[in-house]
Amino acid sequence: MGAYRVILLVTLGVYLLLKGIGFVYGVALPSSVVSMYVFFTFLVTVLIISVTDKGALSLTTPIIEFLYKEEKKKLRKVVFVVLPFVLAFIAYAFTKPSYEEPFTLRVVHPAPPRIVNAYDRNIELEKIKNPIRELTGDAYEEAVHDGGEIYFKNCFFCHGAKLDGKGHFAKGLNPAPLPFTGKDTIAQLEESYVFWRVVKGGEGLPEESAPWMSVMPVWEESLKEEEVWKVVTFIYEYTGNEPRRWEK
Amino acid sequence: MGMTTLRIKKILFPLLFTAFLMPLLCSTAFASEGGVFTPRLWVWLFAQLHLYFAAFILSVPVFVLILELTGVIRKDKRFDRVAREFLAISVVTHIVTVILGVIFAAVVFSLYSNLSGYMYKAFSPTVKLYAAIIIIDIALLYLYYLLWSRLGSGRGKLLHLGIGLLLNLSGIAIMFIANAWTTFMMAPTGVDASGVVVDLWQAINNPLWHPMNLHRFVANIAFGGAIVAAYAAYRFLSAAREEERARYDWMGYIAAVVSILALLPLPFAGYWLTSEIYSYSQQMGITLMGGVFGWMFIAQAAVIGTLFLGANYYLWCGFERAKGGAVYRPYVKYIAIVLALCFLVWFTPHTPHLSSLELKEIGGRFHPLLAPLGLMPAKNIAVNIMILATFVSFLLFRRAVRSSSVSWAAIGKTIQAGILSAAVLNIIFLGVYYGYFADSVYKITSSIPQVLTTLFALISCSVIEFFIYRGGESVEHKWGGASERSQYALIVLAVSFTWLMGLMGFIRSAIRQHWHVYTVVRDVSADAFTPTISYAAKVVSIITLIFLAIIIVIFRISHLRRAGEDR
Amino acid sequence: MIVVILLPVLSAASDIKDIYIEKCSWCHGNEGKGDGPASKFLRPAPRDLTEGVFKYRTSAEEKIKPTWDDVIRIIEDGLPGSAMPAWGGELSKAEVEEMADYILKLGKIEKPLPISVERFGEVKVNAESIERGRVLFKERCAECHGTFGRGNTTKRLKDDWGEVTWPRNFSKPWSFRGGYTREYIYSRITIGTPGTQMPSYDDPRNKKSLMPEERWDVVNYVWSLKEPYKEPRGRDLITALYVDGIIPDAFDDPVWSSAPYLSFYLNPQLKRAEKLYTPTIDSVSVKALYNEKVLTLLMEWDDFTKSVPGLRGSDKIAGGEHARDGFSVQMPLKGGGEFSEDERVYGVKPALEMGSSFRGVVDWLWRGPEKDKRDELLEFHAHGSGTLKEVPLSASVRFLSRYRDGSWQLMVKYPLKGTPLDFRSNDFTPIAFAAWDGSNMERAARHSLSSWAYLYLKPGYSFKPYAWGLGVFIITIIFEVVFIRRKRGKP
Repeated sequence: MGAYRVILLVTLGVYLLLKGIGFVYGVALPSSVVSMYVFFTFLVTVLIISVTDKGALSLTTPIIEFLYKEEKKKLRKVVFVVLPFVLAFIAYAFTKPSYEEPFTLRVVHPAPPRIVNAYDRNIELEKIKNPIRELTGDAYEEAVHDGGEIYFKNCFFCHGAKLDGKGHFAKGLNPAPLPFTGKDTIAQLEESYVFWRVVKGGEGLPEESAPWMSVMPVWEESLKEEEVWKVVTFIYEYTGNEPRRWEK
Repeated sequence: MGMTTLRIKKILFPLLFTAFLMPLLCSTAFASEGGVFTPRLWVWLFAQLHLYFAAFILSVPVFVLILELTGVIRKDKRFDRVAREFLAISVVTHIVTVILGVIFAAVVFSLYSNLSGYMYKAFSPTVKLYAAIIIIDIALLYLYYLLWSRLGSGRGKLLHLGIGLLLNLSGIAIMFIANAWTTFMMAPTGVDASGVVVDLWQAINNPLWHPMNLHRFVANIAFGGAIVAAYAAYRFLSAAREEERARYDWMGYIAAVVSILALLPLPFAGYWLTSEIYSYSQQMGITLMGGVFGWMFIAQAAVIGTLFLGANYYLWCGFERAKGGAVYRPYVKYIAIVLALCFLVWFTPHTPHLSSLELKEIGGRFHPLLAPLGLMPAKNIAVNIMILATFVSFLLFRRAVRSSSVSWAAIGKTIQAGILSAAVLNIIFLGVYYGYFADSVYKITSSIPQVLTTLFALISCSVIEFFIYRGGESVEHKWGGASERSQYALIVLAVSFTWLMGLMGFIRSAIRQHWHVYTVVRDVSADAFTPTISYAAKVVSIITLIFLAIIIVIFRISHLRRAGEDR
Repeated sequence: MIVVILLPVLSAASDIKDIYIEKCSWCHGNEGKGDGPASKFLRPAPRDLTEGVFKYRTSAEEKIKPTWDDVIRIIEDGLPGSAMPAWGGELSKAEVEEMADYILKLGKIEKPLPISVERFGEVKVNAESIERGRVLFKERCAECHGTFGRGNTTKRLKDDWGEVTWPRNFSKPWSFRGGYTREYIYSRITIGTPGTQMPSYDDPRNKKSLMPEERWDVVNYVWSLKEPYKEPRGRDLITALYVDGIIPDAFDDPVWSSAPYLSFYLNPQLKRAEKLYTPTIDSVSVKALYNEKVLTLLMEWDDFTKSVPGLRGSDKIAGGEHARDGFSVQMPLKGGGEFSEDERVYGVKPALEMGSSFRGVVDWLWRGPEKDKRDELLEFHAHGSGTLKEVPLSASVRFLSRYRDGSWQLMVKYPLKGTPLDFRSNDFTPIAFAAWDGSNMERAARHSLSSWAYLYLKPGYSFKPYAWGLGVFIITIIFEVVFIRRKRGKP
């Protein structure tokens, strides 16, 4: 089997595999990731083949033969005529105005400020603790339940009755509301961080998070501080996630 | 074969050059941020160029000394000659470094007088010390270089080694002092409420000082090694005589090994630095890893992957430099596949680029299947296994020219394989269990047992390897027979290293965001914003090109001079 | 590890009542009376499960009992278009069945349950059947559903619990509670929707009742009413096409047929005080054309009512006092130097709704007619919350509107120059929409709105890509020529 055929087969195989995974799973893998994977597969295959002299020759010989061998003259003529057109078309295709919307690099979890001014005081995020966690027994259960009521009166329209980010108004939002289930979102964050996001809302996001896209309300305006802590505790409890902590 | 590859090169290089450079220079985004040459760009340019050269000249004496010592111990003249040639390159670059340093200082003092005034006031005793040590360093360097043949043997050699040691100590002292300034800007300690430095020693001994000292020291060696290896590759490719080819093949090998050995612990030094940044300021830590710079880390991951691949490729190409190495050829595929898988995990972004349609379909920024691969535990697994795979390549590379005489060689090799497999399993288990299932408190700390596992595997396998091949014969093989491809791998290694250093340096310094000295001296200039990723990448690329251009000129000069000396 | 493995086992063993409290009580209440904390904010309201009424059942039985599959389907798949989510992935099959039993018990519904209504005499979809259906529909259904089934009712409808209801809009099939299948539509016509004014057309007491074949004709007509372009597909780029010549002031001009509609979801305003929880307008479709001088946007959105305060018919449907309908188009204030060249071209967005102090927005607000007052277009500028102020309308911005069969259409013509926007071809301009349904008492902050989208003025002709193509073409030929000459020079 020729070296080029191996490269083609392996690359194509990986491409189909990735597409297949997306297909079977029901959610296609992002095309940017697929193209990165495929390109890398191609590269590594070329490297493996070219390690030995024989392999390297099997890669270069067809090109050399094509360029210099008398028997390939006909093919060469055809390619030399076609090639400028193909390359010109590629250049055209790359530079023609695209109708894709400009693409925004949005940071989902940006760095929080050190100090947040909320509820008429300066709060140092690294120091603040969730007061609900100090409660025990029934008092704690009750606070969590209060948090649930607050959640279902304020948050579930977007973040969903299952806390999966798929509330009945979620599909109109871009970016989509974040889910609290799974290990990607609140499980990665400290409670003080979640507190900050709730209290300051989309408008409190730094530039890199494109605050102009988020319609998360500034809850400081309509919820009391204790209520925010209750709802924060609720979303952790309901989803079975643990907030990130640095020590125990 | 030689002829035909040469012909392809002539077509390929101009094409690649046009393909890469043209869009870079034609891009409009480069000029769009308030004119092309902003004060920040000037400082950036000269600081980075100065750093490149400084890193190079600080690292070269380290392994020159090691090589010289090896030569003395092994009584092998080749080491001595190669060491001397390294040093010759270093002498020329020294002058360039000093010139760039002076320009850099002038640029900072004139464009950012506020900051430089503050820093000078705070650190003036160390600035004077710095100047003094530089003069001593230059004097030592010339002594070391000029007295090389005069102090060639016996007691003289001992004295010469002593000078080399002093030279290294002074170089390290220079770096430590400069590191104190840089790290103070990120993690100022020893300051009072108004921001004035009250305790100079505390300001110097800030939490990031030693992590940075270690990280830079190791990285400098890897970087210097890569540059020298590229130099050797360049000389190898342009060599006309057989003996010259042999010499530079060997020189490239030595430099590459130095570079690769320094590359292996580098991620760990990086961890230490990053975790200290996190614990100094969580905000800075998140900016670095999860915030706007998170995207830079994807670029960084791609380049680090290239480094590992390049290094491995060089080693693989060397398997067959002796006949016995052919048995190791089949392993290349497997190592490559392991590396490739790790690399894919390593650079899978947590929040990938999505088109708006994909965004809607996935319903959020996180892809359910890929998101776990984007988290730190997955990256930790990947990088540890990548290091072990590279280590295996290195072992096989060495074995290719060695034969063992001990009876228990097979058992030893089985034990090594066992240790490596167990290490890989343990790394995966630790990462998966503590990263995804255990309490998040252990998430960061789980990387420590992983690193320890890797280190244990590296050390124990090396020890076994040493005993297996001790007293064994070195298989006859001729230097100079390396393939051209392997030499290009060395050049790729050097280019990636340069680019990576530029990028990481930018990130490290830019996470201060709106501050010159974090939380103490605010950057009030018009440039006090975080540039876009493409802008930063372009600036780093252009600085890399300038550095490589200067280095090529220097190589040519020393080449000509050497040619003259040879005559 | 052990805990991880045991968790599912433990939860399966736990009482179904606990699961109900954990998952369902928030809307349906602890006792199932439909009085959970969220219930006040929802329309349709969460069902009072103790009454045992199932609106979306498929059983023909008189005794309001649902089929077993109905209950399972509602729990597993949820009710699209309402706040009831699909619990299928969340609860195991066994838990869903236990939950169905629990809910039947709450509603005091005893087994055995009936089976689904039988579907006699199915008529396949064909032109004749649709035509027969159209005639029947106009006669028997249009009073509430409107001629084209957009739900533009002629009378105020209420359900058995006294809540105002709106008929289903057949042009938007994604909002069908039981899914968009012909069988489902047939069941609805046959059984009606218990608890609402939708009657059974199988019921001999219903003067308008239909024979099974006739019902199938109506099903086929309803099936044909879907307007797929109205469903938002996640695309956010409205491409304005270049027209060489004038763009007439007419909705039905053939020039519009070249431009495709792009649709967006509208969400109720939930960001600041005076929140709207129960909107009636859920999407808007937009197309755009431009020529040398004018950019023209054509917007279409379904509204059950033409709300004209003061007009008797309108008052009746709205149930008394109501507001004017409205629609607004928002874009960044690009003209004022607040956006750099880059931000202009790449369409950097201001904060949605009111902009911010450093990136302002311009808002063109169309207000529907009122008794003795024509509709009008107003212009507002804002630089952050609470800074909205009216300014004189920019020169020669013009508009026209019409309400037809449950749909508003609004055409606005913006001069390319001379507004606060300065449109240029090849620019990306962020754009957002908002709508007010007066009969739903939507006014001021109570309205629906879209997220930011982009408006892109697609250039009629661009020289640049051809230049690149040509350049690469020439360079390639030069390389080839050099190569061939070199080769000739060698033996």
